[in-house]
Amino acid sequence: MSATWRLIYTSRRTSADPAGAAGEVAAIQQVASANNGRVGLGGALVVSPSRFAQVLEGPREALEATFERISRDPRHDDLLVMSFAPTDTPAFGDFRLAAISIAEPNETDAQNAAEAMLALLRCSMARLETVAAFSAA
Amino acid sequence: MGITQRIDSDGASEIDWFALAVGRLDTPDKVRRLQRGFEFVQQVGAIGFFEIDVRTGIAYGSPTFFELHGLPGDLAEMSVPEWRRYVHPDDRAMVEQFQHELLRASDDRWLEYRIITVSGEVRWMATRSRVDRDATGRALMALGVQQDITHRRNAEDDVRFFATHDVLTGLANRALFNETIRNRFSVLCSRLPAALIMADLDLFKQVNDTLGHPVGDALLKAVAGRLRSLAPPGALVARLGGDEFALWLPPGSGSDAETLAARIVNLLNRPFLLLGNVIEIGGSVGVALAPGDADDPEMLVRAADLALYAAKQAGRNAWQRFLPEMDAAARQRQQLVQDLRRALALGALRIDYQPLVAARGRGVAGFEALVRWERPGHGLVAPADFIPVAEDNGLIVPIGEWVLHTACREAMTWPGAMRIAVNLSPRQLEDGDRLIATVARALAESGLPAQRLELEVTETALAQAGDAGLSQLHRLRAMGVRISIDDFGTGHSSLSRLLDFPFDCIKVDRSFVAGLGHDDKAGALVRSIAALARSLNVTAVAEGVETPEQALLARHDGFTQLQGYLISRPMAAGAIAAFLDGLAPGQSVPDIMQPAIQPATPPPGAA
Repeated sequence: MSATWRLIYTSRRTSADPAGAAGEVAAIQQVASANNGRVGLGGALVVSPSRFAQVLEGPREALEATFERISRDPRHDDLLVMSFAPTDTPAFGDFRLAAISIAEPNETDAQNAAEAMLALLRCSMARLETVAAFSAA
Repeated sequence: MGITQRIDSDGASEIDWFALAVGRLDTPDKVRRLQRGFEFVQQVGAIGFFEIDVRTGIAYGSPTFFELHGLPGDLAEMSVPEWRRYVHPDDRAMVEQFQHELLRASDDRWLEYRIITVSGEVRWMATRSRVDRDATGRALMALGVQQDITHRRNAEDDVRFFATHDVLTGLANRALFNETIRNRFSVLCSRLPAALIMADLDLFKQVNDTLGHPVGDALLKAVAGRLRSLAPPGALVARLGGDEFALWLPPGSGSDAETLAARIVNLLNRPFLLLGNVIEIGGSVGVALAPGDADDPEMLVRAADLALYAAKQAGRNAWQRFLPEMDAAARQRQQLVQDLRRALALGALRIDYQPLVAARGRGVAGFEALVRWERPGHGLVAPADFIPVAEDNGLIVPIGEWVLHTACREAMTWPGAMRIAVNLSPRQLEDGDRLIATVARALAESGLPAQRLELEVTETALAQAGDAGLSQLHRLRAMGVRISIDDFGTGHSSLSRLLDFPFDCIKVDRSFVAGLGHDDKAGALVRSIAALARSLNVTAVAEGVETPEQALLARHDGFTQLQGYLISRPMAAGAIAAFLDGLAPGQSVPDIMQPAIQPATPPPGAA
């Protein structure tokens, strides 16, 4: 069995309409869930009015092909890959794409906002990893 | 149909080959064997025989003929208009025209066309046909063969595809790109401009060098995918070679070219995930419009190329629209390169030497070799005006080799064992084997001990050199040669990475030295670099020392060597002996400068 890889990236929403975030999340989740299911990926997406942060897990080839599609999406810009590496503790296997829509983080600086969203992701990840470890034991 | 025999004009009888071929000859054993042979040939060769009665328009065919169309072999006959319905719609007019001409022709005629079989499959056919006539020349029967040539046509299509496309990315190659532009150029008009966009990747070579060719190839494929995703309908996306891509936008879309160029730069700037690597690269893009920017296809390509070059010069990861002045600048550059190449060949370059002196008491430590060029009709050309151009086209490599050889040889004529410092170009670092061989030969031919040779690499070049460049420096050091980091402080490289490099000397850039005494930040930086050098036990050189105040501060801040106009301007090789004679034994150069300093106000901290 090939190793599970985990990708975490953040980006800036290009849409100027902050209210559209929820609708955009729904649209992305619908399409992405179907695609992710087909290629064996799982993950979570956090969307604030101005930013995206996403974690995706699965086979490396599928992650790379999916990210190539994500990277061409005009709905975001300033993509920043925070990490891309194999993981021993996949946390999102059961979620094709969990989506969380949040209010704008209280950070004015884009980098800090991204960090705040990633902290949220990591927090969910840590909890899921604990659950996974618990059920394995 | 019974036994048919045709009577030739000379009365001899012959077998009805057609009836034989279509298997309708009721015959004795010998002919039956022939008939089986014919059937075999038809099946194996996918060849069908047919005969058309010109007067009735009825076609009679062999079993194989009908089977080629997916029809039952025993169909035996079919009207010509009905048969034409099996011809591919795009080829029907051509086939009709062919049949029309055949009726007038006195010789065999040949045609290739597509049919659509009963099962809907498109197959390529070739026919060879002729017309039998009566004594008055009136057409009676048209007879011929039809052969399935799909395999051959597909193979030819493959050959054509691979001859016109890049195998790695599937994009059009340079040949198809040139042909397309040439064909479409003549019909352009200014109302509906077309555009040519050229793009290349910044730092692609580093990806290949540091991550290997499989990653480089994957990157080229991904870039091709991104370009294809941006191309409007009717555009041609081509890979011209290496990491050089082009987009031809058809007439009418020229006005969108700038928007598209910006999109390309944006997409190429986004990360790539390839074979487990995160790759952040960027692209530079040049745009030229036709017919506005060019009168012919070659000029259009050149214009887009020059715009791309300008985008790269402007700092990469950017796009530029072609401007006429780019053309003039390129011609001047070209002339400069020609003159420089001639100067190198004719031995018209020379080296001046600028001394490096000990900051305290030990005299002249060495000289830095600086290449000089008297360009006929232009006077002395500033290094900044010809070195970057030589870097661009690779001429820097032979120039650098000439400097290395000459400087080592001339250093052997000096009285004393002072060091000779020679600048290395990033281009020389790229070909490590050649560099090592050159250094070894320069040392061997001149007899200069390796310890007296110091090679200077700029901080920027070091940062870009990658692991391959790093290993070259290790090899040079293993030979006993010293390595110094030049223009330190300008390369924006991370300190931790820099410390991975093997070096013996740091030369602090003149821009910081110029700030000594009035720019607190520059002073703090210079002091911390000197402290770093001391703790690493490497030499610290202050470059560009021009005033006694700077000399005293640099000495006070812990620099071990000084270089600059205050000590001496670069001098011709022949002036070195006189310069050294002017110094009393054991006297340090800054001490000589002291009398000049005394009348001036003592700099703060000098007391």
